[in-house]
Amino acid sequence: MTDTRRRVKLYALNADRQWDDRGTGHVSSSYVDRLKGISLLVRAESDGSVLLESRIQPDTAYQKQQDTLIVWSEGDNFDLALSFQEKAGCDEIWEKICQVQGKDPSVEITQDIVEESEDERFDDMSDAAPPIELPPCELSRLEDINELIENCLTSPMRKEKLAVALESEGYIKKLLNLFRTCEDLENIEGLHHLYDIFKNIFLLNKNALFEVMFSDDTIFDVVGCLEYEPTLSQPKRHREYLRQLARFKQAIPITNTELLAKIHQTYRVQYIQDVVLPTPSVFEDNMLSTLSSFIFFNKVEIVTLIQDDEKFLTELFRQLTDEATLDSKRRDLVLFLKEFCNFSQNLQPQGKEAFYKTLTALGILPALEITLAMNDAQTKTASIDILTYIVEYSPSVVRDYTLQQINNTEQDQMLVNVIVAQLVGDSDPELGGAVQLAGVLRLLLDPENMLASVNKSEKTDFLNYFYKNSIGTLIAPLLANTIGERPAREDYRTVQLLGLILELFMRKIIALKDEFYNRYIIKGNLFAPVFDAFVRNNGRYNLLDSAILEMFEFIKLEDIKSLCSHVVENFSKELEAIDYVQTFKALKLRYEQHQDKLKDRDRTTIDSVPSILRNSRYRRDQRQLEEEEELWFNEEEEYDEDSKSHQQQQQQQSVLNNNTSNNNITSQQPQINNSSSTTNESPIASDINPTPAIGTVEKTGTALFKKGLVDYEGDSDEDDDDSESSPSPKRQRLS
Amino acid sequence: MAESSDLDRQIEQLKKCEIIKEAEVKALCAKAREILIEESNVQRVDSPVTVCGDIHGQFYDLKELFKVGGDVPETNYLFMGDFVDRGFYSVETFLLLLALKVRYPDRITLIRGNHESRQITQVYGFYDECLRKYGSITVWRYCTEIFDYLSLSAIIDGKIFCVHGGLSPSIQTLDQIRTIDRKQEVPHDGPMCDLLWSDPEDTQGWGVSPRGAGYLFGSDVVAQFNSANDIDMICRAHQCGNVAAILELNEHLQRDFTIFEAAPQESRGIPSKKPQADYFL
Repeated sequence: MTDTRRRVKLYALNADRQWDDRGTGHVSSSYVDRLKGISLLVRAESDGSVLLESRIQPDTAYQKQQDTLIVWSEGDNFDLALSFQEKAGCDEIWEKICQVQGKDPSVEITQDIVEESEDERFDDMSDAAPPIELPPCELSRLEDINELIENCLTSPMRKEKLAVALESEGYIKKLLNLFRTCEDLENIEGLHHLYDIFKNIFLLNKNALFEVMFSDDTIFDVVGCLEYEPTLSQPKRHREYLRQLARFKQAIPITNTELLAKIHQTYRVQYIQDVVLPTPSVFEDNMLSTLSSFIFFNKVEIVTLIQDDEKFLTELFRQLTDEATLDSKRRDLVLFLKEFCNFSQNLQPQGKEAFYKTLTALGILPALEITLAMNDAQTKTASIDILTYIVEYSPSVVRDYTLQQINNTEQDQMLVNVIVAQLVGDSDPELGGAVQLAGVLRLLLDPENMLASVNKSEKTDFLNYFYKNSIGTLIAPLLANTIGERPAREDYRTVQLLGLILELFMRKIIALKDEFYNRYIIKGNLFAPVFDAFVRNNGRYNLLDSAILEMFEFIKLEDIKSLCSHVVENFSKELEAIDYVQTFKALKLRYEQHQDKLKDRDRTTIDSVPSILRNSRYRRDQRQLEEEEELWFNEEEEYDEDSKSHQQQQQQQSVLNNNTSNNNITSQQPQINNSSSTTNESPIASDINPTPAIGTVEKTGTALFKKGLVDYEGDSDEDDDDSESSPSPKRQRLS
Repeated sequence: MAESSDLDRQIEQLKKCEIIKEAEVKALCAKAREILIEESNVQRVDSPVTVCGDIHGQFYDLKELFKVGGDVPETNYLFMGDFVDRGFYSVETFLLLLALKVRYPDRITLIRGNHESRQITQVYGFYDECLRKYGSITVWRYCTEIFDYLSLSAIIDGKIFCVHGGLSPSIQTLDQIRTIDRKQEVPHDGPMCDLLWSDPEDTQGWGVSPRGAGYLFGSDVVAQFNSANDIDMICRAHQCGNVAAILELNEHLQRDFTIFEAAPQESRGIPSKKPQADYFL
């Protein structure tokens, strides 16, 4: 993305005194030969064409307005304006202009405007200029007052003076008195003037005036003035809305009167900004910046005041997690929290960090475990929103919390499992919640945002936990649905949900390019449902088709040998028919080349430990792996006795156990390659019993390669190298 | 029945530049998802069809466009992305197009532009607009979720390739577009990004794009692509400037490029705004 700092819109004043948008681009200042001087250049962002090339003349009067606007006249009657996206960019260009003209950048205008009268020159040059004299505030003078204000809007100096005059004479309150009189007398003409007057006062962008206008005793009259838009036949009923329809709800009673006043004020000012004031035209976009800042700082203040009130939040969380709390009350508490989080978006990074720390310390995550699972739709939705805010701010907070929970919490009560359960169990036909929760999980599982984490074991531990314990629940519906010959349910909701789940776990796991998880896929024969869906899609060119193709394209491009072999060996029948893309042909070719290589090497190498096993050894904590293996071996024995099971059972079994079986990878082993032919549909190579043999090899392997271990928890560079290197070079290095 | 009359009512409401309820947006998006998921990365379109470029939230220009080009479903339309951002009526514009898509799936095709993205809409206005008009970003979430389902390109009668941005050095044949998993945020590089970001340039070969995403491609690249895929021309948007125009193609693919006047300022009404009645803060 290009930088936004120098992003500008160029405007030119047309014959009707309207500003025309001449395009958007990036501005720079440099010496232009043709113009023989430092010039302003604007290049269109759409096509890089030159929108403006204008030499900074030594005597042109440039004006800076509202922090992000530079206006000047080119020649006699050609007014131009640059509207900056960012203040910083405006300041830079302003400094450049001032430098060329030898002015101090603190000025707001670089030259005296020649066509103005001597008085005005004086006015613009000095602070000691005569102040603006407002007409007496009387009904008969409303038109004059309006005219005067309108005239002042054109010059920044006069705007300043006008604001001072309005403020110092208590003029706003006088105007509001007139408003009440006009309304009593139904003096529509007067009310229309007052509308224009107040609309223009907003454009003065003066915080001091806003303070007066938005106080408790004035704000309704100000809104009243803005109801009488001259172009409307009927005034709008904004005051009625604010007084009667808007409802302030107190989840926990707020006793601080200052805080209460702030909350009401913010709601009303926001209403003025969003609803009452006309949508600004493009050019006026920056003009209400002070109003936005007013709301912004109010929100920051509200969040701070609430955060500082320890009793308030403690009580809120106590009620939130109290079993005795009524559902309707709990809903209000959650809705409050959601708005609280929403307001906190305005905080600076440091404040934000403190904010989420406070919430975490007070137990927002355990509270969400409860509220996410509530039946009330509003409570649930708001809880999902809160969770999203937290995870978007820092996925690590939730991951750390999960790791803490492992040893002291029931599985199904752990937050991450509550999320999974809510995703899978979303009863909404449109899956609004599930879609959002899938987004949350995606963030939590994304290895990309784990790299910078302080806690280095976060990645391994969290992913291990998730793929060991939570994924079972996540893919249970998928497996349940594909257990028979035909899918049990094929209605829209089910298909959507399965799609979400598939996409979530399968593609993310593969992107890890970690052999540990690849073995998991192979062993669970988890591609089977994918191929099932693929075959049933019957070559229709749709999103599913492309998504599955992409996954295999990725396996091909990244040359993930284990998965490549698995696919070719188990699904070649389905693949052969597909000729509309080259993906599978290429996969098969890769596979054959790889097999040839393995055979060649086999002749020259005695060490025939399957490369895949070794590779996986690099990335696991040794002790943990051994524990897991023992666990698995035990299970495997039982399983074997049970045995000759059917493929579906096998799938489920393996998923639930989530063990680290090495079964199907025997196909990687050159010696048995011939026997485990491609017709073998079962993930278990039934003609051999690899367990003890592999177990031994593994142990030897560990000892042998210990020296060559790359620290998985080490820095990310090394990590990347490791995960990207294919197994074969390692074999060479180590043999 | 009730559903379709509901939808017709929503279309009428949106045509008046009035937003529909949040729950209605959710249901609309769910239906749209069902339709879009079945579309291909290179969506087939039959002539006659009228091709339109960036609308960018200019609701009143869209209305003008329908006045000039004819209404849906009488006229068959292809919109080449950038429905949102910049203008003040992105919500109304996108939802109207989406509702028309759900109502007349075969008469209107929507493909993705570089602005149909979570990241871009947070900078260029759509995000703020949703927040302002609905008081929460839920509607923005629904819409950006739908963006991920939008097709990447279209081909008219197998002869005219339509895409928002342009070509990609990683794509020589249309088949290669098939292996893109489009259901994702617009990436920062790679073939999907290029289709939505690239620009043609008066040059030969490939060049670096000043936009920081996608590429510049020359006339030789186009010629090569056209002959490899047996197509007549490439039609794209992405660089509109301030001209309102549509390209009408009849059943013989004869082209009629119509420039029309943007909607006059006074016809642009005040946008409907709906505050939240209940507030806790």
